[in-house]
Amino acid sequence: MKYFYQYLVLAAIALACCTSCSKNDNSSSGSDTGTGGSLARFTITMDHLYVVDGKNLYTFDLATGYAPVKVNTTSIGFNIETIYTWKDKLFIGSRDAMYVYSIANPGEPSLLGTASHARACDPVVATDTVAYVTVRTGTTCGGNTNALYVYDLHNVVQPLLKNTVNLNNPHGLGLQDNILYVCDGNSGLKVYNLKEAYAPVLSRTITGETFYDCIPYGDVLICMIEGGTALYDISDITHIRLLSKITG
Amino acid sequence: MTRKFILLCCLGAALTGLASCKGGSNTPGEVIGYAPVYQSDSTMANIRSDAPQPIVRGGKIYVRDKTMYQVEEGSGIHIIDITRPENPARTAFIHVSGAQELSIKGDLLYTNNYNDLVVLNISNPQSVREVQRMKDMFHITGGNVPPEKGYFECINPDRGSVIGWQKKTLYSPKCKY
Repeated sequence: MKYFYQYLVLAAIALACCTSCSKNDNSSSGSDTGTGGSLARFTITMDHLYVVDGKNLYTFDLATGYAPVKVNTTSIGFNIETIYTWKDKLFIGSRDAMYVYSIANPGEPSLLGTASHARACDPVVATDTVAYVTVRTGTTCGGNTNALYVYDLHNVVQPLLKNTVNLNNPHGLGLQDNILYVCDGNSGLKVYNLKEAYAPVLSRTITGETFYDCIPYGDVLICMIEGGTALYDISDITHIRLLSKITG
Repeated sequence: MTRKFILLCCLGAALTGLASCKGGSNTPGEVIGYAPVYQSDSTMANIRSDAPQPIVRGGKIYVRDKTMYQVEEGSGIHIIDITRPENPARTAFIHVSGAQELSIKGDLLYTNNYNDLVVLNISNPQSVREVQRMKDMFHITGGNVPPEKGYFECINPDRGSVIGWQKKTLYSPKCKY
């Protein structure tokens, strides 16, 4: 009988805990972190915020609540511009290289490999086995190449350039399922089919805006354009449709 | 390359006292251009929510759930409800001087107030609160010249280091690149 009361108390405590847990779950608004574009210098995975400035990669531990704790500073190179995460890797774009870092130990990023290229601006998106990099010339970028580079990452220590697709003035890019969206400035949004990951096939070009970056987000493509944002319906890739523009 | 060359020019000019990068007789009168923001600027830390604002220099984008965010380069963050993507609704604007970046986890938004890392509680977009500030964490903004070419207000080294550039009306600016 004594044990019965003890169990009853334990059960009551457990019930109280569960109720408060589920309350917390209900009050939070769905997913914990969001999705940034390929031009970002900030990215969060799990409990860490990674930031790149021109030279360094900074790692902040966010597990401590309101006060981030800077746990690492790594010198990477020069003219660092973008950061992108995929699983346990960081892809960092600079004006003359793509750097791949492991965050298997999230508080201590370690360099896995580097792919150098002609001097130009270069955001990156990637998966386990392939990285897509755009390189662009311009007053602040230098160089004379405007292209999409496709890298084989099977040997991540030395990414292998598999393909080059010429473009006019490419900025950011976005990847979802087997589709790659490349923002080619005022030449439009280029949509590539990636049935063969290393050989993108141009399926269509959306014109009418100057495109800088895109985030594929389920059925909606969110694009940073000159003067604001444009939203496209990508539920049927053969009929991409402008939903709305947020400008002015 | 061009920028480096001009910087070298200015440096050379400053050293020799010729000041060739200063416009002299042909400076414009009133013009829109960039003025330096100094570390000591007291207005830099004034982060607050406001009614939706026009997008003038739309910057980087971010999305979570049914809300998207667009940086207004150098001045803040637009919050836009895209529950109905065919008819998005602007919810609020957060004034953050020097803003270029953002990322979100839970109720917390991480952004740059020039080169400070700031943490904002966005559980109520209409009244965003700064909950943490880490001063001078990185060097995302600043530099010796503004982000766009043209006339700009010359840097006054007596006022300390430059943490960013702010677009405003200038009267007879003497520097140009």
